[in-house]
Amino acid sequence: MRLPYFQYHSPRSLKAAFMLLKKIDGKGLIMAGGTELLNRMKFRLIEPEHIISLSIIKNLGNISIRENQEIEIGTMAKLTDIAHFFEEIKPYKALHEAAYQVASMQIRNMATIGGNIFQDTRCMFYNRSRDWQRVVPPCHKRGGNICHAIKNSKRCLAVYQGDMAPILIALKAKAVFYTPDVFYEMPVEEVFSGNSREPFITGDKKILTSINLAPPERNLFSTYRKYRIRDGVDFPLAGIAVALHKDGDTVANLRLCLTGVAPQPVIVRDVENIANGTKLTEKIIKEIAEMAYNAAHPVANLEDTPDNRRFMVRQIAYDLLMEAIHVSR
Amino acid sequence: MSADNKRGKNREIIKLNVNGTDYHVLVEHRETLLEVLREKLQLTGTKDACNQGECGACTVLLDGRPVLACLVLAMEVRKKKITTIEGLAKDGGLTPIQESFIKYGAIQCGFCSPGMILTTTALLAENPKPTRRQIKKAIEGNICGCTGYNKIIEAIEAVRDKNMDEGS
Repeated sequence: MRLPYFQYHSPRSLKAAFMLLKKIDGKGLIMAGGTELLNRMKFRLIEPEHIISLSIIKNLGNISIRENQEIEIGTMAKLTDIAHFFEEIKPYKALHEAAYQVASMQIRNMATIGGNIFQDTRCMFYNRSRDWQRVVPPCHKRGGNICHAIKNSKRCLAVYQGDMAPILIALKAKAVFYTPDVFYEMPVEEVFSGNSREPFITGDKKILTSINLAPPERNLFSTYRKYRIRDGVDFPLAGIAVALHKDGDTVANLRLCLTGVAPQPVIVRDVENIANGTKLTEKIIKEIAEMAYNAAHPVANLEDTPDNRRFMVRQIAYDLLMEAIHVSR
Repeated sequence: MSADNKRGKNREIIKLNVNGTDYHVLVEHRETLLEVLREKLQLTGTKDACNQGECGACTVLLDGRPVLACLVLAMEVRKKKITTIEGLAKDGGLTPIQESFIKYGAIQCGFCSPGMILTTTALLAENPKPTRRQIKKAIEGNICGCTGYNKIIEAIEAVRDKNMDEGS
């Protein structure tokens, strides 16, 4: 499979990249690692006329600890480097786990955190070969008005399967964007639109420069696990990220975020009402796992059945929280 | 699509450092490193299989790290050191990893072998004493249809054990 024709640009600064993006006005895309973007181009799911690579802009790939102990992950930081960096930072261990479980070693050496967050939603009726596209009528995501996953669905149901976003959301990370006038930040969950066809709200005239994390706290425990058929390479069919703040024996705050079950990462609402201030007994954990189950609404558009995926959400949530109370003790 | 973007317009001569040699190559912007290696430099040891980042047959080392040549644009690797399977053997002598793959029957049809050997080379350079689990994790992105992986893992473990003997 060859890529479609396009013009390649590699600006040296963020400003130059921004001006270029403005100049080509919607006819081009930003490329970070390229592992997901180039694949979609090979399948002719998108055919941008211009590709703007951020690869030679200085310092975008750094992971650093600032003076105030905040951790800044540059948008071009490779997943391999993220997995290494967070291996020893206990409160943020989940970032190590999530990055380490993405695809394969080769892909982790190319893929970046920015690209991972901004990966398109996926569906087994959309991410298909050109032959398939020729014989099967276009669905919502390909510009048509039908859905092959659920007949009569009025909207696209493609699934967001990123591994990094859920844990960043659970950890309340901030995404920092560049425009020539100002750097501004927003919580990671706010970049998602909830619409499978256009999964991100940021538009195309801003550039993600970094992800910022609060200083690591000793009483924080985080973890991430995903369900998939093969233990390598596969995207998550369901994934769960947990961030647990403890205050002595009791829970100060608990956040759960799911991936692979909806067009955007799903925060499990109201778990804090049940968990906070308690000792997180098995009974409460079962209740929380049930809430995660109820928050997940997978449909039949990935490799496993919706029932199985939903069941696994409940099971993994239970397992992770049971482990969390032992580990964080 | 604009006229500028049509065939032939977006081409450039770039310098690629492959296996220690500088090549000046005329590449189209859309060409992947895999296409340039195989079709322009005739380095066909790097295999073209799934072409969508799932099988690992096109693995090459970029500055010592394994990546998939089918998902890297040639334009992106202008300042990097590229190592392909052709660059491993020195003066006609195979590397210990290559020898071990032959000795343990880890090569059958041979299609996955270049990628598998380069991944192993990078693994052992970073971690000379990997556990079986770490070996399996490292080669998760290289698909082999013949061996069932056991012989490959045995071959890698043999090199590791030799490293350990020499280290102790």
